Amino acid sequence: MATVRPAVSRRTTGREIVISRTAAVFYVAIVLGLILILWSARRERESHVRVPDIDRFEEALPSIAGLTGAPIQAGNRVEILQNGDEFFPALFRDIAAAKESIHLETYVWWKGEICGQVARALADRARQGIEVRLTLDAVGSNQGDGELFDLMRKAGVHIALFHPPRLQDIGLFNNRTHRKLAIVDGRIGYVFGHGIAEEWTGHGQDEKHWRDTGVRIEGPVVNTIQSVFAENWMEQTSEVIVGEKYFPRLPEMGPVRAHMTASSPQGGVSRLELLFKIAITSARRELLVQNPYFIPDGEIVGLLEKAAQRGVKIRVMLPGAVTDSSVVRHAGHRRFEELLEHGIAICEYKKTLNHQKIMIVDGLWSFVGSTNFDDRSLDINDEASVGLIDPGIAGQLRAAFEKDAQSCPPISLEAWRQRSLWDRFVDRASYMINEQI
Amino acid sequence: MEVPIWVLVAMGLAIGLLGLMLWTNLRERPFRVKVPDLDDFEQALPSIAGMTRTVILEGNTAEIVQNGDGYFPALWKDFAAAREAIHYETFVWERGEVCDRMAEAFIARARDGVEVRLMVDAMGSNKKEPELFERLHAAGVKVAIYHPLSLRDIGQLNKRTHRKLAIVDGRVGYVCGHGVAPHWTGNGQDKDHWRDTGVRVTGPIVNAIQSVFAQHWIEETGEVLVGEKHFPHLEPTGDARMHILAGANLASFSDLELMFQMALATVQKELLIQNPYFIPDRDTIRLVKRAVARGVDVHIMVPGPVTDSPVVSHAGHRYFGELLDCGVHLYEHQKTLTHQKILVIDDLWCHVGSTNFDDRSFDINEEAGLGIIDPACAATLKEAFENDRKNCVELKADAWKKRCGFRHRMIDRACYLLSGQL
Repeated sequence: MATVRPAVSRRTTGREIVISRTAAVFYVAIVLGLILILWSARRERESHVRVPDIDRFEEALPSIAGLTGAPIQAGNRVEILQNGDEFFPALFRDIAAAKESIHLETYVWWKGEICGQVARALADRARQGIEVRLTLDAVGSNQGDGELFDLMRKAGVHIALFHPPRLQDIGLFNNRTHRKLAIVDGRIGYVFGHGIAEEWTGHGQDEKHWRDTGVRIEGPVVNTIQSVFAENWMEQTSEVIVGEKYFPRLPEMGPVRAHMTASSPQGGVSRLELLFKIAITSARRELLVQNPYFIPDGEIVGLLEKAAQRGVKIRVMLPGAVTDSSVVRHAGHRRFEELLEHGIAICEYKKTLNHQKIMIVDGLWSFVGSTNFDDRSLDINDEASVGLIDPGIAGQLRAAFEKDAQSCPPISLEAWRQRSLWDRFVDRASYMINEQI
Repeated sequence: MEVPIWVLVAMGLAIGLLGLMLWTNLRERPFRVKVPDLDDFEQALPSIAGMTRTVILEGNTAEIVQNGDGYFPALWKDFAAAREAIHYETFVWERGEVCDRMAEAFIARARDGVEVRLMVDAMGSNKKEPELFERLHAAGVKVAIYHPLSLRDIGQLNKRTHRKLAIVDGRVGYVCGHGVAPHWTGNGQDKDHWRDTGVRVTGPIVNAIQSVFAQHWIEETGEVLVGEKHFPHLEPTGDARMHILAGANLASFSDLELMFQMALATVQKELLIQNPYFIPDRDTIRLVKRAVARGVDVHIMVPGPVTDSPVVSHAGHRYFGELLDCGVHLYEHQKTLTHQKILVIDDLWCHVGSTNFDDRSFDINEEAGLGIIDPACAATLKEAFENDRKNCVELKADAWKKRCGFRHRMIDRACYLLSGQL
């Protein structure tokens, strides 16, 4: 190194030591100060949310709508779409029938024949003059096939990458859009858990074909689904979408009351976290949970236990050995013993990854969407789930749950207690990094 | 003592990286949204609601309350009649007669068993005397301080709640511009008694106002407000359609700014604006010009000599010349500070609330406004505008050019540079 040394070496004077120590202290103070401000600006203002008991669900509905910023809209027709085999054909039909606009937002756009099919379907309609807008998460779609994106762009599809890795946005890098939405002509809305990748085709028959659930909705709530899409679209493109073709006046189409809840990390307590906590609190008879990433925090565990104590039958279905994230699976194990001790039934789905994010409360109120049961979904990502208040819909989702439960041996408390030390260690280590996974 | 050069470079890089992370977290993103012309207001309404993440609620009644003399007595009456819960959120909380009277009302009602929740901004209430808060506390009033000035919240220091809300029993709501301070008493009669406007509402919209209050309340206290006394099923009380506007968000475009821009894009005949801090940006100026070009009469009233912030006034002057040249009517109020934040569009759609027409309100602070679609309400606000105009001097393009010499223009530009924080 070309460090120039003085010709005559001399002893460092006392004064120089004082100066360099002062400089070092000063430097450390600046670094610590910056870290403090950064942490403070970003930190999730820890929310020890206290949800009071909810005895009468119907009476609490305006509270639930108010607290989650989502009005409850009556008169929707809802169709449940299981796995890729029901989801993609329905989506393709609506894409083919679109008259004005097609909007799609997704996190995952990986690889597979299905990506080409979606891309070509969108490109075809764009060529015919339909406005097509596609929001892709910059991280979730970075292994997608560039040729397909070019094909779509050339055909006139507008593609927005959500939070692309740019130096001036490095502070936003951890905030991804995990939302999965599609809106056709502002009249038909889809809310789902599916990604655009080969894994989501089929009917959950094996490890390579995952289990997932979505809904297709017609009716007043579609305005709100559009509004959630518009939020990230405007953030990335500055385009304000206004007019009848995006936000038409929507007549009532069916019996289902629906509310669309979306959350974003900015500002205060996450609306979806609040919604999940309220849902658990309001359960009186039965609570069914299907979620691929289940890492409840202490507060949620407390609410589940309280529910179990008041006689709510709780069943939680999680992925077993087939999972795309074993760290998440292990982190989830951290609280199993406690949950099992309280009589909460837990089972692990064997056949494939069950990726659907479903909750069913008292055979009436159900949730479908993108929201995992972990801190990343509840505090960091942009998510969207729809709440559906209808016994018929809850019944259908419940029947699917029962069918899934057949390939799902329950975990017994005794067997769980006899796990090896190594398993316990991995669970604890995984849980320690749970906020980010 | 020798420090190798690479250590110095690494130290410099570490600071640079931290600084970059911080800047990218806190910086305002330069959004330039493109709002198309909205020819048919009724047709655009679901879009306006959808883009500002809300819905239009029907069946409400609005009562405009002017100045302290209209606002505070109405509040006292509703507080006295409260049976279950009184919620109040404000930015300015300054000791004086009106503040003491409000505190006494809270204490009295809390002693009667009414739940009282008071949310005040830590910065707006920094002249508080802790003794008063202790008395409130002792009487059972729940007090929450928004974004307290503590070391761990240093990164939130710049983000204040500027909202002014009151909700009684979940059935009566107020959305206002008034603070709790001596300036807001009286009738706008002199420079020590300001002009301001609020609205008292009943009907389904009160659920939405409560929902805005609940946001900060949960954030600061963790208490979730559930039940009939907070969110009752509300029956229609009148004919006014309303929509709530709340919130700021550094990472995306402000709902309130978007609503203001969409108002400029949809107006067909007449637009009235009253705002104490009016610092439009280029996009807004462009929308105003487009409105004028399609034949809209645009009238804008701002404070004159009586202002609590000369820097804001100067920053606002930046585009006055351009606005006057294109035919906008600009008025400066002479008697007192006109603190109300009013919009009246085509004698139909109006807006009342806490939102200033500047970047601090749009992008940094937490605000709350109410959109009201009701010709009667629009007529009341228009009449008030006409009355205020009697105390105004209308600026003329020629006179403005003379008044606004080189030195003045330089001050305006210098102040405008700060507009991101004003």
